[in-house]
Amino acid sequence: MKSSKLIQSIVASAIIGFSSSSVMAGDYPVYEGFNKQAMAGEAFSGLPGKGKTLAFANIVNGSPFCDLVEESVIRQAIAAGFSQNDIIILNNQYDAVIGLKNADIILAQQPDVFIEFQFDERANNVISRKFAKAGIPIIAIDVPVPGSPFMGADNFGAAWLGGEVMAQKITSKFGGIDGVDKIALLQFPTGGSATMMRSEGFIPPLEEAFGVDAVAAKLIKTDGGTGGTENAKLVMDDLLAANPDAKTWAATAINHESIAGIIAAFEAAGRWNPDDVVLVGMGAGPLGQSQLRDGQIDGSVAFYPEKYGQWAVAAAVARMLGAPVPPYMYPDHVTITMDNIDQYYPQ
Amino acid sequence: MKIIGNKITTNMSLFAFLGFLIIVFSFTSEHFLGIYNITSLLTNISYSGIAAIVLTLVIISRGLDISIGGVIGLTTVVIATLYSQSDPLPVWLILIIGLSTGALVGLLNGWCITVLNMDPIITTLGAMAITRGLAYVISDSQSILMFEDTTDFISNGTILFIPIPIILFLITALIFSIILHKSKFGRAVYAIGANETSASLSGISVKKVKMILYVLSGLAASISGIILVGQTSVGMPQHGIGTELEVITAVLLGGTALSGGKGTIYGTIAGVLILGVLFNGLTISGVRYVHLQIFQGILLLAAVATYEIKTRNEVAT
Repeated sequence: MKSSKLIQSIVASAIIGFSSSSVMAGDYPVYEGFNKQAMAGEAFSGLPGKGKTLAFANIVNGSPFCDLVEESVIRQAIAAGFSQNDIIILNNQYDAVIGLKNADIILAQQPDVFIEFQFDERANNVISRKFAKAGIPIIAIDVPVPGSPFMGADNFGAAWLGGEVMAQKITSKFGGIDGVDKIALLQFPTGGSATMMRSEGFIPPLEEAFGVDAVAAKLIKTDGGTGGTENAKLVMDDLLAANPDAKTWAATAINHESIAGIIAAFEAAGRWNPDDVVLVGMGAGPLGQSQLRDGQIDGSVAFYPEKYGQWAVAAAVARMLGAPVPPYMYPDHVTITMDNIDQYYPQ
Repeated sequence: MKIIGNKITTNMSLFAFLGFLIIVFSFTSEHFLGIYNITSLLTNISYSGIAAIVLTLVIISRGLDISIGGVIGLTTVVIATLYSQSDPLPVWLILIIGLSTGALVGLLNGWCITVLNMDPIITTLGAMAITRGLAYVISDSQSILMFEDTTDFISNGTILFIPIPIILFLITALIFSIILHKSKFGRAVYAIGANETSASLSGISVKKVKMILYVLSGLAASISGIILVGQTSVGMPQHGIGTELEVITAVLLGGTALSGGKGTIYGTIAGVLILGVLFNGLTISGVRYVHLQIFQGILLLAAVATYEIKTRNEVAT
């Protein structure tokens, strides 16, 4: 079994090496080759997925971010040669127990490789153990799975970029930290450490720009719900009610749906004025792009969920062939503002 | 005699429907009847099945407990928090504390319902919010890792190749079947559900019986929580979210009347199995989750509608 995978891997390397001039000599030639082809929108050399089965469990459906990830995985899986019928797609429903049940259902179907997007890192221990026992490789998306390569957002790094934008905008809009009354981080503690990083990473660049004490004096960290507009609005309603004298605000949240809730709260309170608020979102999905173009927010950090499959499926196929893949694969996070949005997301 | 006949007919039609589902899914997916799938299906329904068995008695007594999911979450957090201390208590004591958590919530539910005469839905809805909130507070909204041999054995171990959660489910079903159908206590439960005043006048201690039922329901939810901790190796406040809907659907699907006085353990077993097989079968056949939610809603409505039509027909005749 192992030797056949090794042979497949060597053959795949050779095919990629001969057929694609864009392949770079690196530590992970098979993965890098497939990744390059995925980025170029080409089919994977040799269609390695032909006759194989790939399983993908999405963290939840109905969220634009997660739906884009799923579409990207399916698109790239087809480019890798998997037939539509051999792509198993399940919904973990943002529930570790459902995630575990889905993992069992997937194990019963014995896929060749599994891409897991499940929100609780610790619960992934059990899933990791079961799949290791069955000899099925896993690629983890956004939330680590012990012992498996990770592909996804560099949450802390992306938040750091967001924090830099927030610091710049506080300076340009309000003249510095003294001009802002409150800085609100609407966090997502129930999403675990990965999602917490997405807001905690804002703090170091703010502290670097304005000093630890100055930031601490203005900072409000609060549970902003689970990424929905309604919850974020309720939380922001309370913050505005608790701080009636705070006129100028800087705020961020887990995603742009939550940012919409923040804006709605300002509007409901009759305190919405884009000149008095610095808002930086995370993800820069379709909603974030609209908010930015409408002048509602000041910036966002692109996560490229619509491209996740370029890395995840390339890694999954490489692992399926027994080839090594990098332990961490991050999309290139980019800060999106009004100045560069058309460059990254042309209309 | 007629009632027994009706029960048998209802249960037979439920198991016939179950058989029909199994046949259908065995054609739609080649993996459905695989040993691994059947074992994991039964293991995965065991924790909600245990809660459903006990809830059957609560509903027969014209009560309801929707705090089940909250108690499950709280139990998993309590156990994992105690275990994660630098100098943890012995595991047997931690498990007893975990079980006591559910029993205590059940006791409070029972006290509010019987002594304060509060509505069961409102009471247990409040308890659901409190237990879920407590779970978030204790865990600081984080999941707590718990790799421990005893809980691992309870949830993942086997005896004679049968997973222990399935054995626990069967034992619970057997015990409560005997209690409900063969004991004085069981007759009291039916009597209270049929007519509480008559039951009281005939010497049944209504408050005591109800109190015991809510304590048992809390205890069963805690057992479910312990199984979940072992299955997932984490205690987390989100555990059990939505379980109450799943469990209530299974009980009603099994023919237990929301208005009390009617229902069987066999019916609930059938309800639990139908739900489990339906969701597993549809998922493994490639049906998307959004459609599964529709099926769950339809099943719940169908179960209640069937009961209402039957009741109307009985009254008419």
